[in-house]
Amino acid sequence: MTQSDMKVVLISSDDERFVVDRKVAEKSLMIKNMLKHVGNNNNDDDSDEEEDDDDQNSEPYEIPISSVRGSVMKHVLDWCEHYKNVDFPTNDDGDLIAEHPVSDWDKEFLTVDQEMLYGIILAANYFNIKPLLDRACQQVANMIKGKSPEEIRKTFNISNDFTAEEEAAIRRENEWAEDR
Amino acid sequence: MSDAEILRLLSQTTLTEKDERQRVELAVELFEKGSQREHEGLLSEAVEFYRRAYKLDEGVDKKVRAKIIADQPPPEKRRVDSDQIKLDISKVNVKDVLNSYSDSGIFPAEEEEPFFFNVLPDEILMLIMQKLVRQDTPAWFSFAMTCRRTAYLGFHHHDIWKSLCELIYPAQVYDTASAELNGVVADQEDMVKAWNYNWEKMLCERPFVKFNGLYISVVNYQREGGRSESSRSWSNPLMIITYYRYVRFFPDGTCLRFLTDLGPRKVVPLFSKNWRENGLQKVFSGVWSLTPEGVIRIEYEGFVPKYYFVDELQIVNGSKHAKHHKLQWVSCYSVDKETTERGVFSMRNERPFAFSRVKSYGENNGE
Repeated sequence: MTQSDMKVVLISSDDERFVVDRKVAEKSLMIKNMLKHVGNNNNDDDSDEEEDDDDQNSEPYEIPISSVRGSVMKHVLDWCEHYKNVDFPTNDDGDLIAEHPVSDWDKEFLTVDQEMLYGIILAANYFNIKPLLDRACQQVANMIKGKSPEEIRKTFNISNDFTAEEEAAIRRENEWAEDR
Repeated sequence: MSDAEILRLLSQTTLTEKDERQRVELAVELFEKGSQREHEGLLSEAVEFYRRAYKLDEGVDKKVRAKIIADQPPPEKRRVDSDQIKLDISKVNVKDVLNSYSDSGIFPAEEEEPFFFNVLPDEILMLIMQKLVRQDTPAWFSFAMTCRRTAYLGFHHHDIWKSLCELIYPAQVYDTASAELNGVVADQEDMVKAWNYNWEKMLCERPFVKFNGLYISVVNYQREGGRSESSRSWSNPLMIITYYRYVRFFPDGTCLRFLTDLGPRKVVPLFSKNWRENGLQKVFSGVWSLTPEGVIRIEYEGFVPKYYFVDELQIVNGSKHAKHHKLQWVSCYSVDKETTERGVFSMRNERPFAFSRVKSYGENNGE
């Protein structure tokens, strides 16, 4: 069994099992780090050789993910599958080097209700999938652009908890910084 | 009533014989038209309307005021609209208020409606906020004005002010000599030391040129007009002349300078680097640079090839709450290219420029 054939099983909080290629699962840096010492990884084949032998021909590697539910996990894994052959360049801190324009496929992918969108954001954050996190946050940002504070509150059902005085004073103090 | 109809009525000599009511109504309408023109900066037209209104009815101003008051909703209704209440915010300390929001959560406006926004942790809200700051700064402001939590993150958190500084200052085109002399460097982490690492303070105090709009100076002056030969009028007409100066800066060190009698509504949509294709004439393109103290120097070629021209403008606050909003004239002169002799122009009539944000200017860089 080679690294790329290896299957990983992700178990969601509601006990759904997702069997995916290791390559797909490793879109998640969190899972990639977890799998570092598992399987026939070409990069560290000396020290882990014996462990690998133990794992050989064994059941696929199972990872319980207690903080992500099945419906969200399915979405996130669809994204990973779609982008499994794409490299997203990052700097030393693991941050994306460039903001990627949201592709039509992403737009379609992220056209979901708010509950799912935030679910994807939280899962992408947990799994450490920076490009997905970036695009999903971009989707939220796009929902904010061009709207007044009142329209933003409406869109996200957010209560205005300012007092009238506070709101006016904060507005007056910071409004100038919109221009640059 | 249309303008043409009013003029037709006015041209009728029989107007004074018309019944009283129509006369007053017409006067009020003329006054309102004048007020509208005045608002648009068309002062000489406004004066003409006012003059005719008063001619019809000496007490027209009081009648207009009475009409405005009558058109307002009754006081008890007015109170509902928070915009119309005069709030006393002079005693509100915004820093303290924002500080007090540090533990505020986000709550649903409608309990029955779906609400998930509160699941997003601060780090995610900051990610979204940072995107907005970079991509559409006014959207950052609107988002931060949504509720206490977003205001705390958007206005109190120094990361936001740091991002603004790192977007704004490296885009400035500094005059090389004075920047070197004052130790202006590209690394903002280094610059902010002089402000005790207070990014917001640096942004408030360190002048910068704004690119997501243009600077407009409206100049009104009066001069005595001439009477026509046949006029029997006793007095000389007074002409009010209005003209506009527009300056738009680009981060590539170029700028556009335009002196015209065309108002902002006509000029703003056309005032880009493609001004010629857009049908504007006599726009001058120049180069600009900024000193660390906030003096902008614009150099441009005029009509006369023997000279080049220089405007010097100082960036100042419009008010306590409108930072770096105005440009005041320092000087304006021509330089003879051969002899380097200066000819200084009088700026006695000139007025400062005020910044106006233009949405489309922020979206593309002047193309």
